[in-house]
Amino acid sequence: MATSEEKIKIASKFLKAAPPGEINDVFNDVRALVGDDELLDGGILTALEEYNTEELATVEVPGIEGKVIVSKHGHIEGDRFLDPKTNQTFKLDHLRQTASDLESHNVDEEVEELRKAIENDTEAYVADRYAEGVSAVYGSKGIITIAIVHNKYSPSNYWNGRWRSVWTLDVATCEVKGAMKCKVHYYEDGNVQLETAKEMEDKLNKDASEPHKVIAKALLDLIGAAESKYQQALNESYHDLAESTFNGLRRALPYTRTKLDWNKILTYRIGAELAAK
Amino acid sequence: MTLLPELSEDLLSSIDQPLKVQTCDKTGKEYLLCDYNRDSNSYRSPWSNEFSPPLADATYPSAKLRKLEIAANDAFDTYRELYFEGGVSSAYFWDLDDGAFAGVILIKKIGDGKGRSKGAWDSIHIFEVQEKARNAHYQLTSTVMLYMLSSKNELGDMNLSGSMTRQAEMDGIVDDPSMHIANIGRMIEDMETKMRHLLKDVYFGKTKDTVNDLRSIESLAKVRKQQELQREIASKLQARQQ
Repeated sequence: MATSEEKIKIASKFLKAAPPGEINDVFNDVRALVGDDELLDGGILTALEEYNTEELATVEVPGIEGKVIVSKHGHIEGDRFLDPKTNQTFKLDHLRQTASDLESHNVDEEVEELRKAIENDTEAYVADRYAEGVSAVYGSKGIITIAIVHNKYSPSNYWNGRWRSVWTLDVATCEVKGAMKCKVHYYEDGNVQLETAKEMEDKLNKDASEPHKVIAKALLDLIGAAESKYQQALNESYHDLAESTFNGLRRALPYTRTKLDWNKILTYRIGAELAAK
Repeated sequence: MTLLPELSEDLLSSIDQPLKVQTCDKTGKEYLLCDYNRDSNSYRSPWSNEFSPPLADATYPSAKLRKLEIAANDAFDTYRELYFEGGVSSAYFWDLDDGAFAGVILIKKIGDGKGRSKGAWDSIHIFEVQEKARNAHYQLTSTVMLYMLSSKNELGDMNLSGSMTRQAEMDGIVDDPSMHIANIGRMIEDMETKMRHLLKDVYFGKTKDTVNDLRSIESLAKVRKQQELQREIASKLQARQQ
């Protein structure tokens, strides 16, 4: 039998691997397996925190309109996170994904104006590409970070999906870094998962001294082009995998273009063998 | 398994794990490992009928069933060569009460890995046979595990993997024992072909559509405008027809 520590380790591993929109189902399964709620609730908080910040969980915050992203870029301390748009922090219950206790936050004045310009363009971009996407734009210590997440859950049709992008701009050098990730789970009489990840680096074709609006536009143009190029590469890879890799595993029909003649196979060698009793 | 050790036997047989390959000490031929050719920590080769590592007091199929098992291994070797053009296959049979029997047909194919994409296919077909005079009733549960990995500069990493399970039942005539192999063979051939279609649809259709639902490659504003325009034209055409 596993020790408490081992149990928590295994439970944490399952939780962190939960497909999009299924963290509660995984939690309930894990709870039944561990069979000790007190141990579980105390031990898996780190895993839940890691899951929520890594997967860019979106939560309703009483007093704030729309959904708010939870990410490590907005982590203040303990279980307190920042909503950069309204400049308020909230307390998060990682297990229930509920927020409370709003407090105002001191902004990083140095990048705030640029942050706002980029936030404005990011919201327009996200609305134009992600039907129900949520974004957050953080500014701190000379770095602007954009987080984008779009979840689509369709449990009645047995699928869930999530797209995440995180982009950073170094304000001084205009260097851009991006990470795009996609997860899809399809589970009708089966269990199929897609996981993709792509990282890239680039540089804005602009000077840091140019107006904030110009920088913001250049950044979102770069992001839009990079994300579309990536999506195109994904679609092309689907085509290659289906047409070449998949077909190379099992043929739809043997090269003879007819199904097997099982009686013939048997008559030749096996029939004789079986008849010789 | 560490959570609930008493569950480990069930878990081992129900969790989808890639099939492992081992080489037969006696014949040098490869065979596949699963719970149905395992006894303690040894696995039985379908080619030599011997356990590796050797095992005293091991359970073997009856002499009559072993003959059928040999025939199934030969027949599915041919089947595998024709459909998979490579790979490894193994058939394991075991006796049930009242003269009934069950078996599993395993097939594994790992793609040649040309280019920057890799793929692997594992089939697990478990069947049970109940005989009634000249007739037999077959119950089949088939699982196909399919792994696809791709890694390219512009793509980064892509992992599309999982499994699918389907069941089928069938009645067949059995004039002599060899007809079991033909009946099971046809049933598995049809099932695998059907599942190949399903896998293609889910892997390369449904998950791809979801990705393109998550992010729109076209501007959504543009898409909506086009839809509006289409609706307008349609209603005008309709008005003209009336």
